[in-house]
Parts: sequence; structure tokens; C-alpha cells
Amino acid sequence: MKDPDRTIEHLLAGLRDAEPPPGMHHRILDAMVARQATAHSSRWLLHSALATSWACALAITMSLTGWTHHRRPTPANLSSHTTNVDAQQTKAQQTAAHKTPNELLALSTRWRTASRVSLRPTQLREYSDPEETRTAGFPAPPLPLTGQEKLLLRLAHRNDAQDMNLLNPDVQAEESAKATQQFQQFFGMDAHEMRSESE
Amino acid sequence: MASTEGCSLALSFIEDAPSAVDLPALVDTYSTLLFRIANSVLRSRTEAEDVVQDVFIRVLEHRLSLATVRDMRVWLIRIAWNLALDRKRRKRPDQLDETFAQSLASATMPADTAMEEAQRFQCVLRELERLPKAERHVLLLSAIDELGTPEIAAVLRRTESAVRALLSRARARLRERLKEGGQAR
Repeated sequence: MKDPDRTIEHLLAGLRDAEPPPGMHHRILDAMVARQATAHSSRWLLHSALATSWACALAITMSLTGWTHHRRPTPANLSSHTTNVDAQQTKAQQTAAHKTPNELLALSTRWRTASRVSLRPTQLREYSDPEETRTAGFPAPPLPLTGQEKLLLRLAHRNDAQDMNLLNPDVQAEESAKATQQFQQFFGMDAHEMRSESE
Repeated sequence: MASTEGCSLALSFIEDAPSAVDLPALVDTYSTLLFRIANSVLRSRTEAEDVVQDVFIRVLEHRLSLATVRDMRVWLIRIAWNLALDRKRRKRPDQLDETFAQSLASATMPADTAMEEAQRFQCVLRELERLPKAERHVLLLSAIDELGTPEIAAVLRRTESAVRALLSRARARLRERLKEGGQAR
């Protein structure tokens, strides 16, 4: 290159004197206005989204609280139910002492059925009264038994008939006589055999 | 003019907090300087305009902390410089050099000599790209007439003496290489 200094100077002068495209100021200002508007709307959207999420969270919390209240029976209602069931149970136990095994079995089955069913009219009455269902102390309906609870119940009542039979004094006497006889038979034979062997 | 006033009105209207800095006045004062700086790095007018726009959008985003900026001019130049360098990293070297050289030559020369001058400019631009980075940056910033050595030093975070030394080395090296290139041809 013949005169590099001159070319460098021309190039640098060209860079120095470069004029911005016409209308650049306006475009920049427009972009800033648009950006500001977008920021505003996005901030508004963020606020509204936050408010909505708070409202949803509050509604869920309130509904959960209401549901928990609804499920948890109040002590007063619980005690009335317990008293009711206990009274029936005591009465049945009192009568059971004077009954035959078959009567006792029938009685126990009836009592169990009755204790399950006895809640129903109360529940029906409570369900039919909408005002009461709105009160905080409305007792929750009994939950259905789980599989494990059913299994436990079945295990607990497996020998119910035999157990009830044992309560009968005649059967008890018979059983004890039988056991005594077996005992005497076994040990009496042994003593006799031992005596003969020694002789 | 009316449009500028409308924009400034709109800007002042939608601002949340009162800002000590008049943004439309900032655009008016510095947009040309920032355009030249970005243009010298990117060698593309459209991209340089995009960079200037990005600078002022950043200013808008940080308008509440503008009062803490000590030297607004250097701060804006630094933003424009860094944005332009970021953008340039995504570009292929020598991309658009031919068009840029032609537009530069046609702007400064009569049409009959513009073609030849464009070729020379292209050579200079190519050699400029081959300079060490620090020297190239100092040379490009020194091309902007409004920038003095202290401002260049502040933008590049170097001492003024270092800037002067780099500038002198850059010019000497570029001159030497262009001479070598001319002789080789």
C-alpha cells in the first residue's frame, strides 16, 4: 500500500463521522415506551397471578379446615354415642348370665347388629336437617371398616359360639367331668401297671 | 419533533417512581455517539442501532439507580462497548467487511475513486482485525473524536499511559503490516 497512514486516517474518519440512520431516536424512544408498557403489563399479570394463587390457597385451606371439622366428632356428640352403645352393651351382658348358649349367641348377634344399625335413625335425622349439618359440632358419620379392621373383627369373633357355650354351667360341668375322667383313667392305669411290673 | 415529545410524555407518564434522569434527553444526547462506537466494532449500521436501543432499554431498566452513576457518559459508552463486543463474538470475522468498506468509501470519496478506496479500506479492516485485542480496542475507540484518552482509559479499565502506549503501538503495527502487504502485492 502506497500511503497507509492516509488510508488509516480516512478509515478512522469514516468511523468517526458515521451518521446514525434517520429516525433512530424515534425508534429507540418507541422501543423504550413499548418495553415499559410490557414491563407494566407483565408486572400486573404477575400481581394478578399472585393474588389468584393466594385466593386459591386460602380457599383450599378453608375447605380443608371445614372438612376436618366436619369429620372430627365433638366430645359432646362422641360421649352421647358412647353412652348409648355402652348402655346397650351393659344391658346385654346382664341378661347374658341367665341365658343358654344358643340364646346367648342369638343375643350377641342381635346386639351386634343392633349396635350397628342403631345409629342409622339418628344419622338420618341429622342428615335430613340441613341446619344442623352446617354446625361445627356435627358428628361425622362412622367410617366404613377397612380391610384390616374387618379381618381383626373376623379373628376376634372366630370362636364366639364355643366361647359363649363355655359360659353355660351345664356345659362347664360336663367338660370338667370329662377332663377328670380322662385324668383318672390315665394316671390310674399307670399306677396299676407300675404295681404289676414291680411284683 | 412532535413524535419525540409524545414519546417523552409517554415515558414520563408510565414511570412508576420519579427518576432524576430525563431519559428522552439522554437518548438525544448520546445516541449518535453510542451508534458510532457500536458501528466501529460491528461494522453494520442496523446492528449498531440495535445495540444503541439495547443500551437505552438497560438504562430504562436501571432508571432508579441512575442517580448513583458517577459518569453517565462513560457508563453508557461502556454498556454500548460491551454489548457491541458481545454481539461481535456471534459474527464471523470479515463478515460484511466488503459492504462496510464500500459504504464508507462512497460516503467519503467521489464515485470514480470510491471503488479503489473501498478495496484499501477492506485491507485496513482486515489488518485491524489481526491486531492484538487491546491495541485494536484502543485504536477503535480513539477513532471516535468525542472520546479523549481519560475516557478511553475508563472504558477499557486501563491507565491513561497504557492507553497512549497501546495506541502508538497499534498505529505503528498497522502501518507496518499495510506496507508489507503492499510490497507483497
